[in-house]
Amino acid sequence: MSKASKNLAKIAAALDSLHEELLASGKINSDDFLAVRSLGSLQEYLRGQSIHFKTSGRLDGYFLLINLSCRRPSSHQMCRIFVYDRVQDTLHEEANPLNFMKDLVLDTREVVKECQRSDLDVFEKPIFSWVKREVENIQVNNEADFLEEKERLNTYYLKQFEELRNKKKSVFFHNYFFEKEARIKEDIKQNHAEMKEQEDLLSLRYQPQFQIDILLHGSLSK
Amino acid sequence: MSAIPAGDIRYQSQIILTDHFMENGILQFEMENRQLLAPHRDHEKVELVVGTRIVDSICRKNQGYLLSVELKEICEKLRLDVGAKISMIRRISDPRRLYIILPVSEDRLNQIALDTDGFSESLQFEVEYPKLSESQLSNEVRETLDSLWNHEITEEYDSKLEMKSKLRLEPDKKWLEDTNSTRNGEQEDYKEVPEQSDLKTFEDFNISDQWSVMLAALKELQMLNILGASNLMGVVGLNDVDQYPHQLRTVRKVLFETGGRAILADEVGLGKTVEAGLILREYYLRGQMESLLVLTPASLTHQWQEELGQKFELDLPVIQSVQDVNKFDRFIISLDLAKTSNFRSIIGSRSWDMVIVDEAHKLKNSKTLNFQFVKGLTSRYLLLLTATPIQNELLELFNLVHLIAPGSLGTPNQFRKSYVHPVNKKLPQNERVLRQRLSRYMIRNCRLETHLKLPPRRVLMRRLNATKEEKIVYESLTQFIRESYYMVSRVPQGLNQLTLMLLQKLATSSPEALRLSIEGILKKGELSGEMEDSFINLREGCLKVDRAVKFVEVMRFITEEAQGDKVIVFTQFRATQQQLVKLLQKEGISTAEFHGEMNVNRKRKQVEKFRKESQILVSTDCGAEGWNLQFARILINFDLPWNPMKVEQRIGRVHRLGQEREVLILNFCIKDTIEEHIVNLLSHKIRLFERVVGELEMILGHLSGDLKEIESLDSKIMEILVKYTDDSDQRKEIETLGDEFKKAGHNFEQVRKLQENFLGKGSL
Repeated sequence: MSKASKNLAKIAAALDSLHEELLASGKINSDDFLAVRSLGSLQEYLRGQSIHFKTSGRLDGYFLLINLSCRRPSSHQMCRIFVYDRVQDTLHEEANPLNFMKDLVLDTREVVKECQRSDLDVFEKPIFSWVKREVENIQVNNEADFLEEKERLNTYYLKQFEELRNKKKSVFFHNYFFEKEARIKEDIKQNHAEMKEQEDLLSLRYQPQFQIDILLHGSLSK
Repeated sequence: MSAIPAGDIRYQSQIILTDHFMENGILQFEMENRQLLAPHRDHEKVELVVGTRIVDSICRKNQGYLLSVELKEICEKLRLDVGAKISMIRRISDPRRLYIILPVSEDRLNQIALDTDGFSESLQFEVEYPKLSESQLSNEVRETLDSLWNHEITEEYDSKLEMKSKLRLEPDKKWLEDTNSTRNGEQEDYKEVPEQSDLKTFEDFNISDQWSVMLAALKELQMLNILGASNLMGVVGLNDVDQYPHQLRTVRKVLFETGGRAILADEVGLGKTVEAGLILREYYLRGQMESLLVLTPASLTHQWQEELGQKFELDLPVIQSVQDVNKFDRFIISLDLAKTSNFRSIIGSRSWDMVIVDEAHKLKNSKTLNFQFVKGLTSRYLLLLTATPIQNELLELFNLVHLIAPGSLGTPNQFRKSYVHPVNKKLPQNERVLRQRLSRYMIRNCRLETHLKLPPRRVLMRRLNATKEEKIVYESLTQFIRESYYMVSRVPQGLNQLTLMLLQKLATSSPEALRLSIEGILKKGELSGEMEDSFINLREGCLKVDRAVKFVEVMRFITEEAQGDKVIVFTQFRATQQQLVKLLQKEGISTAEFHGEMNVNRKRKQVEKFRKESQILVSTDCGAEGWNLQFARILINFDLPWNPMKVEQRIGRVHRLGQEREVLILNFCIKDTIEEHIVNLLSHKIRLFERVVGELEMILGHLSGDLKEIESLDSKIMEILVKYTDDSDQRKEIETLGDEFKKAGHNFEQVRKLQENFLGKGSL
């Protein structure tokens, strides 16, 4: 095994031990975790890899481990495993994939691909409902902030408009009546345009943005 | 509008649109129709009705003027021709209103009514909370499953594990050093960073090991999700960044409280750039920053590039051409360039995740292009960096906050009424409330409260007597330059003014370096016969210098005075550097070197060499930007750049946060040369050596005229040198130039006092 591979194994071991500490104490020592992570992240080795398990007669089918990362309105990541038992024709979901996977036994034999694209259809609805639920939860948590910002902006532009309008009405006292009036009209237009820009920006900032990734997939066999 | 029955008409009048409609027609009309315009006795105002809509109301006084304003607008929008008839009617049944009958169709009238009145009706924020689109989500799910399937068939599904990723580990040695003692040296393997050739594929593992790594990766992800909600992820693993509590507090506040939009207004020298870098890295690691625009003054673009690259592993290009803008998602550009029409339209049309504006006090005035440009940018996160958010008046602060969160301090009028002292506009009122409201968007750390004190700085001038041979070289070169400066080209082709300036600077740096440059020029063979003779004589003169006085002095200082302390020697020239390194090594003094031709890795190695084994580091200015060398405390300015910014950058390498010992700065200059005047300019007029690093940029911002571009200082000094042969005349002229800096320094002090008046002495 190369030196680099040994390093990788050691990082994995360090993460294992930190995770055990988390399970035992319910807390993570963030400094230790970040120190390990500064050596390298293992997450790239998850992207879409396939792996096969024996399930001691429990299940026979496929699984997908999905990661949902939400960038907007606030940043959040979560995983979920979806398992389809083709014998029973049932679908299971587990919020803590590690919990589910700890009991599985790795299948080191060569496994022939048996799955078809249509077999994946069974996952579509549950993934959809899960993601929808999660994103909606995130949105509900951010709605108050949105409304507060909207109210602030609305008050500001309305007040600004009123001030300009009043200014326009008293402009006839001004020596340079027409120039002044034209300028105020321009300001009103600009106020309006700026308000529209802020509307767009506000919408953009709260527009849900998320990404669904398959971290792992594979088969489960008896 | 349906026709008004004749019996319902109380007053009626008609005017004909003329070229002079506004100026004369309406006034005349008013005189003749006072009854028509008079308000109803029960009402203060008369409403104007066009078609079926009320377009406005006019008040009791000057109704003719007001009506003219409304009519002008309406007629312009309808593009009514000269000669068009406009009727006005007051009804018996509805005396509050003045009906304006225009010779156009109802549709057009409605259009006008919408145009004139629609704005007030639509002045509600119409944006709805953007909800999740189910179809988008459904597609996303389907595409994810498709991609899995397509991946399987196109990549020829492998019955074994498909592991194509390369291993690339770059251990953080500092952490390893810290943890080695507790882990009994188990980390030995980490100590060497694998070279590219050592990178292996994941397939080196057997399947069980691969599964262990994947399982660990899942654990990593789970822990990351737990930690990421309230912890900073980007602060560990940064080798060249010293992080201070106030900086981490700032990053935390920006991330978790301000939503990524804030003014970073720390006092000078507390590390605003580091704070911005940490915030960037944090968003970057969290996958929330795909696009980034960094706007800086032109003089700081490369400094930003160097700092972000070297300290935060964010390699950003500095954009100079319009074509490059669309090539990159993350880049640095000078604000002055970005706001020019070509750049503005492209940059403004994009949507940015993050925009950073350094020296953001340049956005103080809402009428300027700077402000308008930044205001027009669509950016989710926005950081404005400035140590002096207020330059002249409190409204400037309002403008900056307006960019961050419009409306949070009300309208400008409301702000003035609430927070600006009614008599003395330079003073605030309701300070407590203002500070409270500001603290939501502005973070200001003050030196006093951070308890970060810089150790004292001692500055020594070494005015050296040139040897006879050196004097001859200097004087003959200066004489040659005086004679030819205005004869050669200004553009950098052949022998030009820039080359002559360079030779003049070299003359006080090292005769040997000067000789090499002269030889280079001679080799090109572009000189006229007379000039060539002069250059050959100069070359001979240089060869006669046995040991230049500066070299003697630097060796004497290092061997007799430095007492083994680490010393950084700065020079502007690579040739001088090479000669210095050679000399030091010949004397058996361990020396590291640092220059702009080195890549980041080589630079890092040299810094490590200097930290661990060498007593001396010889560096050029190009190599100095952005590196922390505060483990050394002695700095020698072997020669002095004429641009004070470069001298400040040198000082900033050692006299910065983290330095614990007194810093000694030695300035070498040769008597009776231009260098002596430069030293006086820097030390007495600019007071550069007394100032906190970072202040100079602010002072330069207060310069006016040609000196606004600090790069022009070089040519100004050169012109003085060429024009005045007498030393006292040269001194006088350079002092006059220095007075400009003194004035700018004075203005800066005023501005600094303003910050204290408005923002108080404490942190925000």
